[in-house]
Amino acid sequence: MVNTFLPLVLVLVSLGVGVSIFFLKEEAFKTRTTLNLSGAIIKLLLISVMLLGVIEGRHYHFEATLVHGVKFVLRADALALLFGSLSALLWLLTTVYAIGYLENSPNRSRFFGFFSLCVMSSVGIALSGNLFTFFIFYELLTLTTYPLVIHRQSEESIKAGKIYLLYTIGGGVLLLVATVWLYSITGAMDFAYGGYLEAFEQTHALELYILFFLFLGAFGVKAALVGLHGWLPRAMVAPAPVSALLHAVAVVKAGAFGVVRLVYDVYGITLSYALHLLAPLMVLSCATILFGSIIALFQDDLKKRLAYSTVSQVSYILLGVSLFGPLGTIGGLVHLVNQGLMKITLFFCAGNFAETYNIKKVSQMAGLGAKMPLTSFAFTVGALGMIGLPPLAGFVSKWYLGLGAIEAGFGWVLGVLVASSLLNAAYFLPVVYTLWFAKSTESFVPHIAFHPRAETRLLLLVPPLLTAVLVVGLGLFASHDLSALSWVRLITRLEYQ
Amino acid sequence: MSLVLTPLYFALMVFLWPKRANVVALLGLGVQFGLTLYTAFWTPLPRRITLGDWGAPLGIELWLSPLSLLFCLLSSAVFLGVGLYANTAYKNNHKERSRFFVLAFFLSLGLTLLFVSDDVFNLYVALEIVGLSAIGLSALRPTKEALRASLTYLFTTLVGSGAYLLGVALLYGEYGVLSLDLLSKALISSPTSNIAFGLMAAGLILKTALFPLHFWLPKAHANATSPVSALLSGLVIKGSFFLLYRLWFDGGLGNETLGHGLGILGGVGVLYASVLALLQTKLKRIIAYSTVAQIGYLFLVFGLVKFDDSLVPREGILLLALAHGLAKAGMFLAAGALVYVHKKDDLVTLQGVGSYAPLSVFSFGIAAVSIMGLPPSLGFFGKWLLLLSAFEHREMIVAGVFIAGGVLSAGYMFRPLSVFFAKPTHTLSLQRPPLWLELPALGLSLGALALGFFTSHILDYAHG
Repeated sequence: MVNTFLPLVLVLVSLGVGVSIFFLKEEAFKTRTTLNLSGAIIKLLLISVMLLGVIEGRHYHFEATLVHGVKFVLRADALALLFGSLSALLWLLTTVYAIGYLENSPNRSRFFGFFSLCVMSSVGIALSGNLFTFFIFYELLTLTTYPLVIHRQSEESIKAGKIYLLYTIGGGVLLLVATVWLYSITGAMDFAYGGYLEAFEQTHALELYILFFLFLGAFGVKAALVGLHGWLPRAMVAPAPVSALLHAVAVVKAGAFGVVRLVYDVYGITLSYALHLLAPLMVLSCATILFGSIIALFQDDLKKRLAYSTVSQVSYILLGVSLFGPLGTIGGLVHLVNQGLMKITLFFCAGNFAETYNIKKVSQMAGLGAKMPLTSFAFTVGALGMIGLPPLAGFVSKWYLGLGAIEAGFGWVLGVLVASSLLNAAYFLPVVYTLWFAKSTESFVPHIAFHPRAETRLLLLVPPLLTAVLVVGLGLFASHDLSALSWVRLITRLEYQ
Repeated sequence: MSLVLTPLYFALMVFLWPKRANVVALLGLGVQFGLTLYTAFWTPLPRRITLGDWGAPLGIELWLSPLSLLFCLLSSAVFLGVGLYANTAYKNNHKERSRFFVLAFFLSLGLTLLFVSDDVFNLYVALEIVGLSAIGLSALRPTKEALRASLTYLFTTLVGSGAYLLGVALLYGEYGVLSLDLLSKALISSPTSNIAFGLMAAGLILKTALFPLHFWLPKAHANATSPVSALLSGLVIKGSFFLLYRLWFDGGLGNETLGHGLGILGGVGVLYASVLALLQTKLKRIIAYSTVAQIGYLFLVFGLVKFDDSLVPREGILLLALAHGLAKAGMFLAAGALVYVHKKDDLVTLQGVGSYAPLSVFSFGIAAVSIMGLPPSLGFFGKWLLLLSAFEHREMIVAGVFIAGGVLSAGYMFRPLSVFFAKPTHTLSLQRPPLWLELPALGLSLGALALGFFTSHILDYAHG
């Protein structure tokens, strides 16, 4: 049974919410909140319906011809739902957080309008059934995140916006060129399990080789591969919910997800292996992992430290993709979810520190743990998860990545993983230590209003606690039937069949 | 027939009742739009209309094809938007308003005639009507710069149509027919017909402002009032381009060498004008140079058809022309509303204007999406088809021009946008533009964006 309706509705929900919010007055707080939350909840429900449907063997597929056989395809396959459910879930939490965060600040209608459109783009990326549709949403993501990055309108943020555009438009151009070029060779572009390029291996090997790197460049910009990561730390001037969303689901994940689609559903893992494309990807991702971690060590600004940590962590996903063999695939894909949850927790917490006590630097955080125990607790869970401590979510990713490396016969990758874990510990543990154990040198004066018995606004506190619980849950119950890991195993079976 | 006569009728009405211009003019534009829609979708196409039962070769014939109707639709939609804008903009100046509308109706008449005529002399008449009313419009507000610019404009447009007329005369002397249809059947390659077409093409290229004959355009388009700029950039240059396109493909006058040359000029024009657009410090200048760049794209088709005899490049150009018509008109109107706040279009003064006119910044942004050729706009699909055609034939230079032009356009479009978004330089509470000054731009820009989803319908329609 094919359902054509649901994937389209899923995209249109956020579009509708976004557009209607633009027309709301600044003061229309209740209407806006209702719209936002109901949009997010409807989305989550629809995704759940589709998840259950896919398990039962239903197909969700919408298509419309745009021009000369080029189709707009939205399709909910297993991989799409992995990314889609992550973004729907985190959107809901980030929306709650953003409502608390932006209380009384100007231009909220504009912010939430673009925020919704941004989520529309990321769900569109998840559901894209071919490269063309993917490209459309990939570009829309650039356009809709730009106003969010420059939301504060300060000189610094306008500058950051400029750099962001410079990188992402460059990436967009590469993607366009690669997509057109590939289409001019194949005349087809629908994603398929196992890829659809095998027939062209003999005739167009060189072109396919070049094209892979064009695609990699295009996705690498958003995934912040080393050398293409310059926009990411600068984009930190954006408000905290934006950073959280950018780092956990929207932008960097769109890039990583693009690489996943590229290797598995365009080239196919077998062809990628045969064309020797995986080795360069592996080297690049290892370099990025180490580079990001090393730079993160030297950042005193908490958000910057987290940003470089993102650079490093996103490349775990690419590393998993580059390891030929099911275990590596599982490690990479499961990290897509795990990194999202851990990173969003950390960013929520960083936002709470900054918003409540205006603390943005690691060196100022001494004694903050006593003032904000719950936030600090969530932060600690996220940080330990990132380091890969069992039984947290990050451990699951690293475990499978390690197994995958051995399976693929690259023992040295294990070394990279160990080194990176040590580095992760080196830049996260000092933060945790400062939070809980360092002697407080300054007195904390809250500069926002909240209930005297709480540590900050409730809306800011609940989202990171929930994600922290999920980080623990995804590790503890990794082998449960409904866990991300099981879902990833299903996808992996499909890709290697 | 009523398509052509409606604007004439309403031009007279506005002329006779200048005080009621607002009602009469808007009614006229609405009727025109409705009639075009009706003709386009509810009457059989293509069809030939003979005036007074005098057929070719002597009488006047009109040729209503889906292609011409698409352009009529574009034109009447843009006129409607611009008319709504002008009605508000000239609210306190009856004289200027009635003059604007009289000239605008004549322009509409000329363009419609240009899109539906089928013989080369009749097309000349249409071209002259378009040219003269456009000059009248550009001199509407008699500032020194505007008058100087429109004088150059007058000069170029007369030279252009003179060259075209000379070509027509040569063709008529050689073949004794004027109808495009008969001409294409009778045509043989001879020095005379080559010279004749060379002259016609040169005249039209001058009028369309292909690089390096674009010198007059930025001045004329940037110094006119905003609704006039919208008409000039969005529609007028499409008129002469459409004529060249028809002579080339329907009249069978095109040839490979010339096509190659035009393609190269187009490509150079894209790059040259885009770089200049990046260097401008005034908003309307940026938009005007962007028009020159976009014209360059249109001319690439004559180079592309050389190696791709499928319809793909022509379809791409058709989409680009339609997209540019809507988006550029929308962009100029949005610019008009933005300038309304400060009365000046230097980028420096426009800093932070987004706080006063967010809707117009939004319209500007949406129009920019189409101009930059980003999805899902109509402009994107035009570019996609052309890029695909270039890649399929491994014409990497053409593809390179598209890519470079796209990147440059992103540069010159995001520059003003980031200026609008910045914090206002002063905290004066300035007057917001009236809503009706902002809405038409939004409508036209959204049109350029949303029509992207209907690309295949548009192409199906164009093929009849």
